[in-house]
Amino acid sequence: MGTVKLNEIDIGSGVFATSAWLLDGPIALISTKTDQGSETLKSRLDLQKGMFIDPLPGERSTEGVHEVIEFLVQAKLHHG
Amino acid sequence: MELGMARFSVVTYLVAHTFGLGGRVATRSQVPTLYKGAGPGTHWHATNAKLVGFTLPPMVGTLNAIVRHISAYSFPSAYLSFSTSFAVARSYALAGPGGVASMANPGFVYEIDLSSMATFPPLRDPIEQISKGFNGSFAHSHNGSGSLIAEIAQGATVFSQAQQSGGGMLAPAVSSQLRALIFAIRDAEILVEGQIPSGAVVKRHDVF
Repeated sequence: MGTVKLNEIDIGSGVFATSAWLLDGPIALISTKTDQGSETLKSRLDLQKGMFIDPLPGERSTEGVHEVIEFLVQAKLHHG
Repeated sequence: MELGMARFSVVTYLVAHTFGLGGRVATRSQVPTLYKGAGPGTHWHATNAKLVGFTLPPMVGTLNAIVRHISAYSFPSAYLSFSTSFAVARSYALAGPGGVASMANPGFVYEIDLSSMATFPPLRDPIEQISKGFNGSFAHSHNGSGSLIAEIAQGATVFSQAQQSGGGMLAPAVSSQLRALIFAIRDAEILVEGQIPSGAVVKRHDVF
């Protein structure tokens, strides 16, 4: 398990992914911030389903979610 | 008289358990032990289902709702998700909106035994429901190669091209039903359509 810094990836509706915790298995925990304020929201992301499990504001963009997943899959490969 | 009452109970049971989508009825001896993971900050982490049971918002279960629940989003939903695998449930419990589970703030895995209950809500096998739900077509059909299932299960979004009749190569079409089937198998997923009483929740395991 490790922490990965994400470069404020736009995942739709003014929500940006800022960091991730890689866990055992297909689930990662994503920390996000919104463009409305400094509140940090966390949601589990199923890397295989390409689906956020816990509700975040608004709608997710497919491109943004894929970008996060690609980044984390590469990070997992490098972490071994 | 006793025979009549027994017959009435069986009929009531069958009607209750096949209402809605219908499907194979799980008898008491067939009901597996179920597990549900609750990561920190989730509803079932803040609410102790061992005390209050599992509840659902009043929504109607449909085939589309099953596919959506598995492959798109699971809240709100007419179903509660469970797994027959403790390991799968644990993977969902290791984190949540409240952060990563730790000794000080563990995630929970609920263990549920419905077989001890006088009545229990309908259990939906998503494989059966999705497979039989597409009259005239086959939910598991695809035009990809033999590696397609593994690619979907690993989370690929671009799939290997596969040879088609006539020699052409095409990227396969992947339906949401096929994805849902694969992910339901991955998670050993069982859907419950209704409330689960607290008496059926036999243990809440701490995990971190």
